[in-house]
Amino acid sequence: MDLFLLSLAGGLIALDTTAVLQGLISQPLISGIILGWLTGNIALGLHMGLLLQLLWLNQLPVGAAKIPEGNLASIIAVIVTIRLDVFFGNSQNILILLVILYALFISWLGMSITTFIRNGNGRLLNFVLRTLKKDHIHIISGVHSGSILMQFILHTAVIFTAVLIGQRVIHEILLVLPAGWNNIARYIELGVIGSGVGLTLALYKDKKDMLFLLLGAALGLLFIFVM
Amino acid sequence: MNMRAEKIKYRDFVSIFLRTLLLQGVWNFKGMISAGIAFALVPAAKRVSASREEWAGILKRHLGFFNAHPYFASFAIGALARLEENLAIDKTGDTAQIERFKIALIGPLGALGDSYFWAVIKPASILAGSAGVLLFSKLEYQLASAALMLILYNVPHLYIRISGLWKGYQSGYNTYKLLKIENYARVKSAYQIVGAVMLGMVIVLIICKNGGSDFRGVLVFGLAAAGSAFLRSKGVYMQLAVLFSVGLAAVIGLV
Repeated sequence: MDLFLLSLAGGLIALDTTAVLQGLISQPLISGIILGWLTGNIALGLHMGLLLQLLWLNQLPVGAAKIPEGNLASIIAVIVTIRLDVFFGNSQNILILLVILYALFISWLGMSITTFIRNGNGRLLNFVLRTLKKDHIHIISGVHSGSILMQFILHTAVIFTAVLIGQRVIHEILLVLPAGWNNIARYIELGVIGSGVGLTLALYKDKKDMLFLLLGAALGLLFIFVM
Repeated sequence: MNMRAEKIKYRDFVSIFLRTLLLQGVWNFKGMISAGIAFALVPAAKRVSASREEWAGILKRHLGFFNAHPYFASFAIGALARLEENLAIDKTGDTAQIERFKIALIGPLGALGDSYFWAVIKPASILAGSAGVLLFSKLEYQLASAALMLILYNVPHLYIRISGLWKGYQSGYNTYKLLKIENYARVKSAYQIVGAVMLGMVIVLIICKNGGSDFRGVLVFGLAAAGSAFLRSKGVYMQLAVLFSVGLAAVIGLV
């Protein structure tokens, strides 16, 4: 699928993070599946989504807290991986390593994008307050729709640009890296998902949780033996 | 419902509910979700107002400042619709009282929603979906697991949005009585257990499926998990914890 159309889809998915619904559609696991389906590689989209899913799970969007934009970063990471996998399928470990590093950078950069949107919304609120003095009631709905549209356009533009840059940079790096590096990076997925598990453990640190964690581990072993 | 004159119609509730889905569309540091509250209240305010000035006046009053968990905010929206209706019909209460009531709801709605959804239901649903994806090798079952994750999350999500709106409207000033932690403890506890069990399953499934035959793979996973948990507990940015794990994986891969 054309990058522009993919970015539009990514922009729509990204709206679910805060502005529209908030029904987990923008979580990496789901966005990975959707983007994978759109690009004809559901398996890789799902794989990347799973890999990225736990990394940002313990970042709670409480109040005005600034947290890394993991969902936006994951959308970009999935698109870059799927587009580069066509050329570097034999070097998937090192490709994933570079994409993860890029996603971390984007998630950090995403905090500034969120702040930019929130500041812009603050100006819109002032505008609504001024206009309401003249009893122009429909300005509330107009500004609301306008703000969501602007966020969609901004996210789409960020995804389009970040994918182009990331794809180009990672492509160039992969061309010059020796083939042996792929072997060095063979544990990258275990490292990343291990990190996600470690970060998520912060949400389950009570004694009671530990008991159920062990129960889950036992159930997992049982499933492995049975299946 | 008690027998009283009501101005707000069922179709207004449908409109308000759909608007609550866009509650955080204009989230900002000044009013936080106040613009979303005013946006959601547009149909109710229109219904209870006798003139355009009155309609604008109601909306202006709700643009000041308000913050709450986006789903639990439905309780406040329902209650505010009721209070504005009471004010319009029989002049019960006054605008200052409504404002004080609204401010009093901020704490309970935020605390309850954040601890209920962000800290428990969201991680549990996602971990259940992730465990399913890891458990099955057939793509169809993996996709079904992802669908299960959406169902596990969105059933309580939409229930709170819809019931909050309706119960808030029925309760008016008594809405605060609905916002007790005990009312949600059973579901929260169940999801907390689901989350812990699923995390335990995820750990075992990853180890067995990816590193079972390779001791170094298991070592990378274990050290990455332990290191990231430790770094996070020390307040280190999550990006640095992941970088540590990526570096660790590369170093062990080099050996």
